[in-house]
Amino acid sequence: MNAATTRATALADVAAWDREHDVVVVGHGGAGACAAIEAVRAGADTLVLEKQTRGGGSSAVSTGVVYFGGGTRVQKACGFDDSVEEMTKFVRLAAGREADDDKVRLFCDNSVEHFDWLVDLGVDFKDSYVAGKTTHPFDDSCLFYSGNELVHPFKEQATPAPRGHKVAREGEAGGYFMEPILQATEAVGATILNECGAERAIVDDAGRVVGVVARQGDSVLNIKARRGVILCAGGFIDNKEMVAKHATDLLIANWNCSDGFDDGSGILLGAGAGGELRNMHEGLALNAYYPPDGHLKGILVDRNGQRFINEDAYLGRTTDAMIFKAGGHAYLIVDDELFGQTQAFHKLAAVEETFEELEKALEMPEGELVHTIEVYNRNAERGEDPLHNKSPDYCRPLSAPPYAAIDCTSAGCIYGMLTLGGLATRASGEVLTQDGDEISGLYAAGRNTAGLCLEGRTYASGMSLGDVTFFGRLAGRSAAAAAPWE
Amino acid sequence: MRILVFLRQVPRLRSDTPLDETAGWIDLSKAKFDPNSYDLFALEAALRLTDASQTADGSGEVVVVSAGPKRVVDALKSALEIGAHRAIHVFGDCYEAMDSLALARVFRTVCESEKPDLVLTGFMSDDGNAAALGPMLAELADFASATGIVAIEATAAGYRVERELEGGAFEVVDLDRPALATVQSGINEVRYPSLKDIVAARKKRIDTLELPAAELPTSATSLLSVAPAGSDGAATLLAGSVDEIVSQLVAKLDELRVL
Repeated sequence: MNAATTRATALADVAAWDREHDVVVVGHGGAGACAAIEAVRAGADTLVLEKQTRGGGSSAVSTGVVYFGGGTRVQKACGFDDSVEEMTKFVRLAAGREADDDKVRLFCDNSVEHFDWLVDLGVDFKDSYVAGKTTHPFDDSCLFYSGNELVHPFKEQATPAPRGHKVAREGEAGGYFMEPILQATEAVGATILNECGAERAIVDDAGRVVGVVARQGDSVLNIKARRGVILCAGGFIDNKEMVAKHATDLLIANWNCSDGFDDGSGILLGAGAGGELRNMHEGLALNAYYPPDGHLKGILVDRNGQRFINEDAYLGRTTDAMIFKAGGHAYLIVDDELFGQTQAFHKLAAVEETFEELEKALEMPEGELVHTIEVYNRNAERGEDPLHNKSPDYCRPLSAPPYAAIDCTSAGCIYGMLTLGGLATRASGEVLTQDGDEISGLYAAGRNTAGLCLEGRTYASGMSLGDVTFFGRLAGRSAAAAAPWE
Repeated sequence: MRILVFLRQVPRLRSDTPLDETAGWIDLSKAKFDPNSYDLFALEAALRLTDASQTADGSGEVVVVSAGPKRVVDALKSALEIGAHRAIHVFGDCYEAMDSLALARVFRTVCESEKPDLVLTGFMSDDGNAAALGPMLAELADFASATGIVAIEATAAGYRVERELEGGAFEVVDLDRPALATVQSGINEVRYPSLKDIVAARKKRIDTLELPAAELPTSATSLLSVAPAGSDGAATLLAGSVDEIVSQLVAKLDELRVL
């Protein structure tokens, strides 16, 4: 799909309307469902268009972790004293260098309310906490440290608190997270059209978005949106052409963190109506070399046997480092006591009795890995890591042979990926042009936008689901409150 | 106690695995390979038996056997890392195309020289799904046998196994030594090798057995063709209220004379 096919259609060329609604939401995933629920509750006659046979989107195939803080019911029940101020300090860092301060502020100020809002819809969170570092609680436990809160350089700048909340289901629970939300979309009275994909915006002479052109089977529908169109159709990781064009570094991904339909069509639709594309080169990369916890006591090295990041950082940060500092060519060096199975089925690149033999087996320059280990072990003996500031909890010398290099190269293991770029929007959801002007009648939320978190290297797990559901709500309210054009 | 585990190396099956329609099978030159999943559960079951017997009287040996070209050594090495004590590689390119009966004949030869107390192998292979090799081998070698076992323990005379039948019933069968059983998938958790296990496996024996061409059995069956599943795209989507959909469905089932 190229921009030409998504260029907006002129209102003058629309012979007749097939359907009319106040608000038209494109995409029935986390963002779209929440947008629709708020729009209906605000009194808008709301239509949700979903390209697939049912809603859920990529939200439904995620782990079901949402980032909440500032003193949620779960945090309090588990004895954690988190404040909006500390959450804001952290999220400001986690959101990245170019983060939208309004988005950060609103997300944090309203986090407890947003938690309660989702619970009220029927999303279930247990009052339980899981200590230690993991990608997500594997049982139905809820609360855990899901980002870089406890690591350098974040822990020095914001008081850590666990804010990852996983929905109360074993394993990866995105589907269970979305189920009550999808049911609520229907229960509040939104109209849902499945197997109907929006393709282009319809704009009037002044550039206001007045509806969408959609396709249902062989039929083309002109759908009027009296108050607004909300684009919630996801990111573009599944569109290889777009990734190659806008985010070449992300081509290294071999596992798309999506339902297979994050094809960027919502982003292109917005661009076709004049929306600015922002942050398109950024993504979240995930190489799940932990758990087991023991792997954090290992060291990550590049092809020259050099370390390049503190291994206890969130895997979004360490995988970013694997890509940008190690060129996608990294190994996790562990000893016999630390080695364990990962959920991503990592393979071993080499296993040897000594570091000299390991270095040779990995074809590294002579002496380099041995030197790295010598320096690391010497400092780890004292619980220190002056080079990369790993937490003392994970600093211990590698000393129990045999030693292994776990293959963390992009050719040899899973590099999961999702995009973080999209349409430029206000926190309230209005899509912006390159000049920073609002496009009347056009809103967007979720991975369809350059959202709350703009950088994988600072991201915390749960920020995406948190972002898409929260800013989906704001966009729904904004669209419902807009004056109708007709 | 000596247990032989017959292990098959199978192509990693994914939706994008290319078919070689001329050769009439998966394009093996483009495939990656893994040990057959069912055989790994058989290997783990064997190791649990020898673990128990080693605790009891210090005996117990699991020998893993596989037939095929050079790449099959990778599957044998994985099995040695998991804990098999030694391996036998029946080497040759001819085994790739052999059917269950011919392979069973080859493996009978191995049983004759190794004289196992027990043979364990997977219920079926991930690629062929024939589920025939085990029972055929038992018949040729004249071993007491049971298929699709979900549990096994050693007894004085041999082995007691449990088979899960349709409808949730269980059958308990006593097998005299020497015995053969094919193992259902998922009956245990296959142990994950430690780094020490991996290094130790490098010292374990892999004996290569090359059968003279004259002794090679021929297959009784041959694969004629393989093709991807087709779809004619004919589907009717029923729409409307629940009552309307039910009416339409009943009418359709009636039309097709299913009711």
